[in-house]
Amino acid sequence: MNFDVELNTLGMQCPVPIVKTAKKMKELQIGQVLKVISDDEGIKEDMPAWCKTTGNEFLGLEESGGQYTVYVKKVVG
Amino acid sequence: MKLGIVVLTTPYTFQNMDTAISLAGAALEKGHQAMIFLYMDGVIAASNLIKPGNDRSIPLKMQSLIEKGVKITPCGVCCNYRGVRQADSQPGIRHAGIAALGQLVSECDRVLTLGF
Repeated sequence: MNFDVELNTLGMQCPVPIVKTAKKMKELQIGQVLKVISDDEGIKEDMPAWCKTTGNEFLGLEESGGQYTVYVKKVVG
Repeated sequence: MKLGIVVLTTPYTFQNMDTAISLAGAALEKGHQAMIFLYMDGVIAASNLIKPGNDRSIPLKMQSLIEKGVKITPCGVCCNYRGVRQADSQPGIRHAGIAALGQLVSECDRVLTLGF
């Protein structure tokens, strides 16, 4: 999946990946995609929940060997 | 109406989980929606290793709610600190975190916290 900015949160557990995502998203322009890499299993539920709460678009999640790659599109400012 | 219930205490030692289950069930019967977030020691209730014997079965009551559409979500970090693995959790329960709690607070019309 295409993305514009990558955020590595490996080794960080909730709520840090979400907090860092929220901070990084402020640097993106509307329409840009953030790729978040995490090994926190909770991100599978948390990122869609955060997107739903904030109005951003959850594009998908890839899982491989205990590592999760999440794509989020900035929709709101 | 959408009711959100946050449970902070262990099942059986405290009756908060029983209260949450009863309230969620009553809400459903009246046509409302309900969500339960298990936080701190409340996550113990998510374990599928709980065997209450002849006592009331909180796991079975939770399963009944889940089958009726109630989302029951334990805090993943709280689970990690207490040895409740996703693999040992009841069917239909997925660990999450603060964002899921945030969603509950923002989506629900009323949020009730059952703690100490």
